[in-house]
Amino acid sequence: MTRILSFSRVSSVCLKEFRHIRRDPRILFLVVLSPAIMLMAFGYLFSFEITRVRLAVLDLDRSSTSRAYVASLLSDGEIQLAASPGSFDEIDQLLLRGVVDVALVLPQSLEADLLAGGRVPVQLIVDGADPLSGRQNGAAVVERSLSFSANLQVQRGVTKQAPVEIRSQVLYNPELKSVWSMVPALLAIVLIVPALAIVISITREKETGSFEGLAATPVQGAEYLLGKLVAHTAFSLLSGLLALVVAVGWFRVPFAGDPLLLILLTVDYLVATMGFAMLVATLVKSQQAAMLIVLLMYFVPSFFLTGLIVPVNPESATAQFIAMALPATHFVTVSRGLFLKGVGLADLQEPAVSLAIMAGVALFLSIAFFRKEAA
Amino acid sequence: MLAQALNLAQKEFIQVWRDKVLMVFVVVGPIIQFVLLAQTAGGDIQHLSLAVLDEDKTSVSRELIKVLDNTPDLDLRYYLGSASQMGPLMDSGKASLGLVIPRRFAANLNSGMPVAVQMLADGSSYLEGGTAIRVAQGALADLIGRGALSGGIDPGGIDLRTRVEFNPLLNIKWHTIPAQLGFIVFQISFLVASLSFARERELGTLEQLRIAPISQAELLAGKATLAMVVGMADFLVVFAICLRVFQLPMRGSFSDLLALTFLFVAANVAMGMVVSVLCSSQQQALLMVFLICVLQVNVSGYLLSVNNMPAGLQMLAEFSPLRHYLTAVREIMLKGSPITLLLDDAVALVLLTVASGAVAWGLLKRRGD
Repeated sequence: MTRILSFSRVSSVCLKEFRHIRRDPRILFLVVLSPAIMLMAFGYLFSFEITRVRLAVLDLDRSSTSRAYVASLLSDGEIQLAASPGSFDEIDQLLLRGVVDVALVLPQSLEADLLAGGRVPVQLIVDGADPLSGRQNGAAVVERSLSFSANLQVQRGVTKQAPVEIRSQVLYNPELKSVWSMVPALLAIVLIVPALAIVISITREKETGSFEGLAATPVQGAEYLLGKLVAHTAFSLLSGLLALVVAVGWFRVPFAGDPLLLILLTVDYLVATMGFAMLVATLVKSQQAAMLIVLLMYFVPSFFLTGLIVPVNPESATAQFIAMALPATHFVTVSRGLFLKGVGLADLQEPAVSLAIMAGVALFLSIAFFRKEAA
Repeated sequence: MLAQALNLAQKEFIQVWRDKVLMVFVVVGPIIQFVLLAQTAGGDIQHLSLAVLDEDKTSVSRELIKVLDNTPDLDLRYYLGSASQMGPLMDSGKASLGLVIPRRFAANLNSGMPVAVQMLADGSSYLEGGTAIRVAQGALADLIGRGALSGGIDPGGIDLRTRVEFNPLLNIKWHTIPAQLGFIVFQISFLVASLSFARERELGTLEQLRIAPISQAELLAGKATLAMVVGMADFLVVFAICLRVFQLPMRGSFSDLLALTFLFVAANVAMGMVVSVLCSSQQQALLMVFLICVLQVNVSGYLLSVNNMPAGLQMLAEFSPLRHYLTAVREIMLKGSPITLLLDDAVALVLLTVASGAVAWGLLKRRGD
């Protein structure tokens, strides 16, 4: 037995693996189709746009101005009047039962004070139990109240027009569509699924005893792992392309970057992910344990700890460390950068190098820990 | 009848006790997972990074910058010397919001000429970019509306005083940790239940159970007991951690929460039984559990409010026990709602339990051999 890596032995393992995947419809589905299907489902589920804000108004003034104010809040339909409570207690009940998201209390002297040019305090009560929605709901009311005040000042002739114009521009995603932001990031998540296949493939051979047959061949551990890696990466890349078609063709996310660079960095990411999966598969004996580890320690944290939805907690060193250690964090940066920003390799050096280092370390460790005889 | 079911349950407990790996996954795993995720997940959408290019450098422009920096949502991190630095900062995602104040801003403002400030937000991260620009627009519009910049008098208007109920600091952990509690209980009770029959069938011991003098009802009850006990025990431990370690408020009644948790665990176990009877191997059951977990987490309102989902998905979400439980646990913990306000969810959980139980029963009858 030679200690040198033989190309022909790597390619024969690879070829065997290719056939294996192609002939097992369940694995083929898991590897090739499921990422695209999952992306399609997730893309819809992760849409954050607030479509309607339910408002309750306690109007103690009952004047034409107070009605005009409420009407201006409701004018574009995003805010809907869901209740007109008669007392503070009723407001508490409405919020408690979750019938409304925000409540306004208009004071008795609203019209008189406004026409006299005063600042009228108006109580805005926001249901903060869901902070993400609460924040957006509150902002929707604030935004419209400011423009009501500005219009009122123009009407009263106090000011002609707003003295300072704020020109705001949202870069990369001008209409702030959550789908444009989420779908490229979710690509990182769905591309973890093919790694399950390599875990199943290695541990199943251990469990069913076909490893024994392997032990009798001249194939080295490193050759065995590399062969598997090449075959699975090739299939996963195919699944990545299908997911890309879903992102661009179905969700209409613009792709501003270089497609070749995306393919290159996707391979970088896939090898890092597969490397981690292979490491688990070499260390653990049963399929069940290996799958649980990959799902619970890799897939689930990738959802919550990578800055995919909310930013990585800046106050927790643990959170920062975990985020950096998870390949998905880096791929989210790569994917959003290439899809939306159209940046080049120079701007993606950091994530690209991090992924390459992870891939290298995971591969090295899997080869080091791999024992053919362990079957 | 009860004695037979208890015997079977006892056998299940002994089995888990002896299988150290399973033991770790059932008892220790969920708790570690909970603490890790709860401690690290979700930075608040605050202290977003602000980059400023101040070409005016007057007291007026500094006032403007100070107003933005003083909001809890924005922190001034980059004070740029030239316009060419803005692009790379936005491209690399280091700044969520860029503000450009042009030359002669204050001078033009004083002489009554139209002036403009420019803001750039990073839209590639939806929540961060969107929050940053909304906050900045609000703060600046308020400042301008009061006439503070032009040195004039306040022309008057609406002065919104915002009060946030139930979670005054809009702490995102108060939202995600109760959800995490529900998820852990869901995951473990569902997983244990779904492996029960699949495991026996794979190992071939289901046949032994079928010929034993145990009725089908006793068999189901015995199998369900283990998953119920594990689910409730995990709930108690994780709930204690919520209050002690993460200092979450508990404004409602504990017995209400306990009752709803019981209904929730029962619904999970019943659904797990269906999966278990359907699958012929543990591997199949695991994959199915994974798929259902992902689906349920996504429609449950774990992060995103159910109210904002498309109508079709809202319908689908009604079939998810997790969705009903997350509503209940948050309402009870954060709002102190009594169970009478949560009857809808309680009834839904009972219906889901009964329906899944009936399906599991029917399937076991057909596939039990």
